[in-house]
Parts: sequence; structure tokens; C-alpha cells
Amino acid sequence: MTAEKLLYKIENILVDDARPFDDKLHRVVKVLAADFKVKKCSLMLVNHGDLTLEVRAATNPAIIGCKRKLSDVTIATRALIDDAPFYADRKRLSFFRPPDATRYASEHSLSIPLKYQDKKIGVLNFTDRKDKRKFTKQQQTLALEIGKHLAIHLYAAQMRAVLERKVGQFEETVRQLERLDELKTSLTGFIIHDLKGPITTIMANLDMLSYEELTPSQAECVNLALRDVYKMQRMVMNILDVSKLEEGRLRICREEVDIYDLARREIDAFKNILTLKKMTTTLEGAPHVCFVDENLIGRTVSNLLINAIEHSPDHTEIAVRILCDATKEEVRVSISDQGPGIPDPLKERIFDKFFQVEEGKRQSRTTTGLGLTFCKLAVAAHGGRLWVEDAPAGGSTFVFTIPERLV
Amino acid sequence: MAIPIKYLQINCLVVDDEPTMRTTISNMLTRMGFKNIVTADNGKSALDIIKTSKMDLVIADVNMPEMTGIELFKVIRDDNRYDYISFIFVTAEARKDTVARAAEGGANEYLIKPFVMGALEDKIKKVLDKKFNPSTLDTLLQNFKKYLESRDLANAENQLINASQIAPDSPTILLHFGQLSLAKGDTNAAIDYFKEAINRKPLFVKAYNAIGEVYESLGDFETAIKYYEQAHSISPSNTERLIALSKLYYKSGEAGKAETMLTEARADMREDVSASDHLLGEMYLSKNENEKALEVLVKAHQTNPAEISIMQSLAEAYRKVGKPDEALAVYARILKINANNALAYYQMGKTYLEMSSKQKAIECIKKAWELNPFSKEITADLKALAEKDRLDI
Repeated sequence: MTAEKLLYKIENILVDDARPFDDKLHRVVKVLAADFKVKKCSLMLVNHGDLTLEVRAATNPAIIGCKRKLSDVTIATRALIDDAPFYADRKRLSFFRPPDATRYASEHSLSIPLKYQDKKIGVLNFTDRKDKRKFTKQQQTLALEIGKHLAIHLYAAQMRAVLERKVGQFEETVRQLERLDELKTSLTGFIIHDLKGPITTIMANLDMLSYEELTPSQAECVNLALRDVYKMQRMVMNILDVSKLEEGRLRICREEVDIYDLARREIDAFKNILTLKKMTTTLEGAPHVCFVDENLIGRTVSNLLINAIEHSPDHTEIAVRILCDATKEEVRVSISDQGPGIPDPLKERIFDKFFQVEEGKRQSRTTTGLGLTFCKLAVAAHGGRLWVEDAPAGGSTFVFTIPERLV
Repeated sequence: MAIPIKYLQINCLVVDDEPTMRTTISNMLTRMGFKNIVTADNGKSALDIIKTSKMDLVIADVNMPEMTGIELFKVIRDDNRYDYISFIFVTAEARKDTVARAAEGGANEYLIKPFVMGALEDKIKKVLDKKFNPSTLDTLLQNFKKYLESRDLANAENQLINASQIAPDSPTILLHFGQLSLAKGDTNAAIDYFKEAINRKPLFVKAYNAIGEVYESLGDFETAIKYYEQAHSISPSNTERLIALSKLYYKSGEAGKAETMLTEARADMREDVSASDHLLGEMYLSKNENEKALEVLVKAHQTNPAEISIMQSLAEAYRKVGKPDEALAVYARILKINANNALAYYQMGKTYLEMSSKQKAIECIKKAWELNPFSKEITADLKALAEKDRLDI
């Protein structure tokens, strides 16, 4: 067989991914033994764990798994350490008697180091030509050539094994993280859900207290506490509902609701905070019954109101308008503030989850940034739209629509 | 909105298993000016109080051990000795639809947690006004319902005509006119009224539902599905309609569609245990896994005993596992809540047929036919029975 043909044959064996790797090596060793007309051929690989050379494939299956310490002086280790082919005749062989053997039974042996770039991978051994003659120069050159090819494949296989192990580790880590994340999500869910109870009582009691005759400083204490418990309530409810709305798990429950009356009630609920900021409100429009999920739309108005209040300077006004479309297609609710307004590039982004307008433009706040996201989703669940535009007199106007027809 | 002084002498009962919430609500009532307030920590102890002393207003949490708010409500509303009680549910949002439907009609309201005093005050004023100071419109509509229930159609119509003069644009009144037409047996007129209601308020779910029911009765499942689908897309949280729709899908051979719908709804409504169990029970029933169906439906009925649609499913499960006596008892309970429930009479008749009590079956189906004369199914069954027995009906 010509050198090219032999290389081609070996290449073909090695690229056959259907076979297990050791099986492929075994076949390579057999092909080589036949071509070199030797009695024995073996392939040893460096085991970095225990610093040995281990027989991975051999014409004599009995020696597979046998190990030689890298520190032992043998013909194989010699070739590896010298980084050069090692050829030995009977006389030379007697110097390299392995510690556990009395002597080499062979006449001639050729060991080729397998190397990929700087990495020592193993040794390819040929022992005793069947005709008991020496290895020829051509055989030595061919053996070297084959060694190079083999080294590349062995290196690739080693890397693949390493990669597979790493991928396995990664996948396991990902699974663990997913489990932890699930646990964390449900735990957060439970905690947030359980917060609703205490918030209900704190809110209700502070609210009751605010009706008492309080001194101005007492009233301020109560109003400040109320403001933040309302904030907490909105945060908790928004977190719970945004995920439900996103997953489409929140099924709206429509009832007959007077939208004007609803807006009035939501404005009334902020009377303490409005007093605190010395702000006023106006409500334009007329009673109008529409079919909406009262709770979701009520909280939308409430979130938009607090958004307006928090971004407005003291002593300013918030205007709420209810507009019934002349064609009776939709109801339009708008809430205008006299705050600093929102720059055009951010007009869409403010509705993104966890988005906060940068400091300086609009004061950044300690919220979850879910208020406007909730509003957008709640309005969308009714088939409506929510957007922000510049108010004519400065400030922002948030507008949402609720279709009055089946969309 | 302050509570009128004349209401402040009434007896209020606050029912909640959470002591803080109980105290908070009582304090709110005191702050509003109510003089007589008692509390109870669950439905059972509340019921003991209601039996021994006259309570005018009950404010009850929904989720409580021993006896839930809905169970308490059901016991009270089943007994006309307690008609004077006004009822306000306090609930978490997750159960909103169930509670909203339990509270529908009559002097009942519900309030979603968290809430403040102003909101409770509004609701209390609303229920007490309905009781002590009803508007002319409310009175007319209440009278209409009473006349309709006692099948006094002429008087029922008078009430409605007067009501429509007060609120000419009200889609609800149109809905009632439709119901009146149905009672008269005129399905075409009824559908026209319902359609006009939709024309005025295109998102008026009840009207879509009503049209769906009429077409279902008439055996036109395709059109019925169309209207139920519209109602469902407007307000998808109504379990009763979900089940009606899924049944129609099964009937028209679209089992896959029905199953997907029920499974999705169940996943979304998992926080409302009774609704979720009800849907699961329906799913088992459709697959003929009747023992399993019975088990979950018994549970659903216990959690929400006022819900007629659960009772219908429960009775069906009893029949399928061969317990017709239990089924009959459930139908009787439905008829106690709503004496004009044609479906309950019809199913009761079917049960008697299964028990081979032909005479009783005919009585029930005839009653069902009187209440819903245009139902194709009922009419056909009645005709078949009559021919067999050569009865003259």
C-alpha cells in the first residue's frame, strides 16, 4: 500500500463518527500492523492524571490498559521524552528493560512520539517485523507521517471529551440554576402575596387615622406613612399582575362601570398625598357606563395619577379628562401633569419593564418601575392603547383608550 | 359619602378569621358611626349569631376555615327568613369572578382587598340604600324579577315599561325585555331585544350570553357557539360560560378544542380553587372518568355551594356513577335557589327516566317545557314520551 493510500485508509477510519473512539483506534492499530508487516503494534496515550503512558489500543488485547510511569526508562517513554522516533535493536533494547519485565522479548522496535503543537499526546509502537529484519528508512518516515495525523485526531478527540464533559457540567449548572430560579420565583411570589394581608391592615388603619383631628405635624406623619403604604401596595399588586398579564393568565372580568365615577373615586383616594404636595386636581367629563374590569382599570388610573403626582412640582395641578368618542367607538381617559415632561426618545421606553427615566431629566425614584408597564398591559387586555404626549401647557399627558366595541 | 344617620342603628356582623382584619373592619364601622357591631371568626360562628339575633348587615371574608364566606352566603340566601340581611363580601382579587357572580342581584356587594374606609362606606351605603331606600328604577326591576319568577307576565311587563321610561337607554332593561319575551315563548322577539342591547352597548356580555343560550335551546349549536365565543372573548373569566361552550364543542365533535380551552382556563384560574376544580370535573365527565369527576366536583361544590353551574355538573356526575337519588337531591337544591331553572327540571326528568319512574319524569320534563317551550331537546323528549304513553299534552 502506498503511503497516501495508507493515510487515506486511516483517515477514513478515524473520521467515522458512528464508531466508538477506542474501536477506531483498535482498527487503526490492526491496519498499521498489517501494512508494516509487524507482529505487534500498540498505541499509548499520556495520562496527565497519574503521569503515565497507558496502552489504549494494541494488536495484543491483553496489554490494553497497561501503564508505564513517565519516569520509568522504557523505549516508549524515551521516544516521548526525547520528542524523536526511537529505534532499538535487540542489543539496545536490553538497556531499556521495564522494571516489571525481565527483558524485552523483541528483536526490533520503533516508537514514534505523538505530538500536536506543543502537546505530547502519546506514543505509537511497532515491534518486530514478521521477517525479523530491521525497519527500513521508508517505514520510519511513513511511521512519522502517520504519527502526525494520528496526533491531530487524538488531540481532537481529547478536546472533544473535555468539551463534552464541560458541556455536561454546564448543562447541570443550568439545570441547577433553573431549579433555583423557579424556587426563588415561587418564593418571591409567596412573599409578595403574603405581604398583601399586612399592607391591607396598615393601609386601612392609617387611612382611618387620617380622619381624626390631628395636629399639623401628626397629620404630616400619617400622610407620609399613608403615601408610602399606598406605594407599597401598588408595587406588590403590580408585580403580581404584570407577570400574570404578560403570560395572559389574568382573565379580565368585565362589569358595568361608570368610568367617570371610577376616576372620581381614584382621585379621592389620593387626597392625603395631594394635600402633602399642595396640589389640586380637576375632573372633566360626564358619567358614562362602560364594560371594564373595574379593578384593573381603577388601578390603571391610580398608577397614572401617582405617576403624575410624583413627577409634578408642588402647587401644580393635575387634570383628568374623560372623553366619550362621538362615534361611540371608544372612551378616552387622559391625565395631564405640569411636570418637566418626557423627552421624545423616551416616550415609548417609559412603558418598558423596570425602566426608570435617568436622573436629572425626571427625578429617579425608588419604585419597581412596573407601574406604567402594568397600565400598558391592563389597557391592552381591554383591547385599548396607552401612550404619552406633551401637554399643551408643558408637562405630560398620559392617554388611554378603551374600545366600546368588540375588537 | 357619609352613611345616613337612620342606618346607623342597624346590627352589623363582621366575619373574618384574621383578628387584625376583623378589628380593622369593626373600627371602620365604628368610625362611620355604626353603634351595634359584633364579630365572628368564621362562617359557622357567624351563622350561630345570625340565628339568635337579627343581623342587618354582614361583612364577610371569603376564605375562612370551617365555613367560607360563600357557604355562609348560600345558607343565608337559601332561607327566606333571612331576606332582610344585606351582604358584603371581602375578597382577594383571584376569586373576583366567583364572588362577583355570587353577589350578583339583590342587596349584595363585594370589595377587593386591600381597601380603605371610603370604599367600604360606599359599598355599605349602596347595599343599605337598595334595602331601605331603593330608587324607583331599582324597585321596578326588583318587582319585575318577582313577577317573572311567579310567571305573572302581564305585571312583569308593566314594571319593565315603567322602568324603560325612567332609563330609556339602559341595555339591562332591554335584556329584561328579552327575558320576558322568552317567558312568553317568543324567541325571535327575545333575540331582537338582546341584539338591540348589543347595538347600544357592544360589550354587553350578558346579551351575547343570552343569545347563545337561546340558540343552544333551539339546537342551533353553530350560532350558539358564535355568540358564546364573543361573550368569552369580551370577558374570559366566567367559568359557567366556559363550561357551556366546552359542552357545545363536545356536542359538535370538537373535543380537542374543548379540552384545550378547559386546560388553559384551569391553568389561569388555579388561584380560584372551586372554579379550577369545576373545570377539572367537567373534563373528567367528558372523558367518562366519572368517579374522578365526582370526587373533584364534590370538593368544588363544598367550596362554592352557591354556584348553580357546579351543582349541575355535580348532579351529572352522581347520575353517571349510578347514584340517581343523590343527583335528584342536588337538582332539588338548584330549584330551591332558582325555582324557574328549566335545565334542572329537565335533567331531573332525565334522571327519573334513568330510574324508570316514567310518571315523575313526564311531570318534570313537562315543567321544564313550560319554562322553556322553545327548547328543541326538551320538546323532542316530551313528544317522544307523550307518544309512547299516548298522553295528551
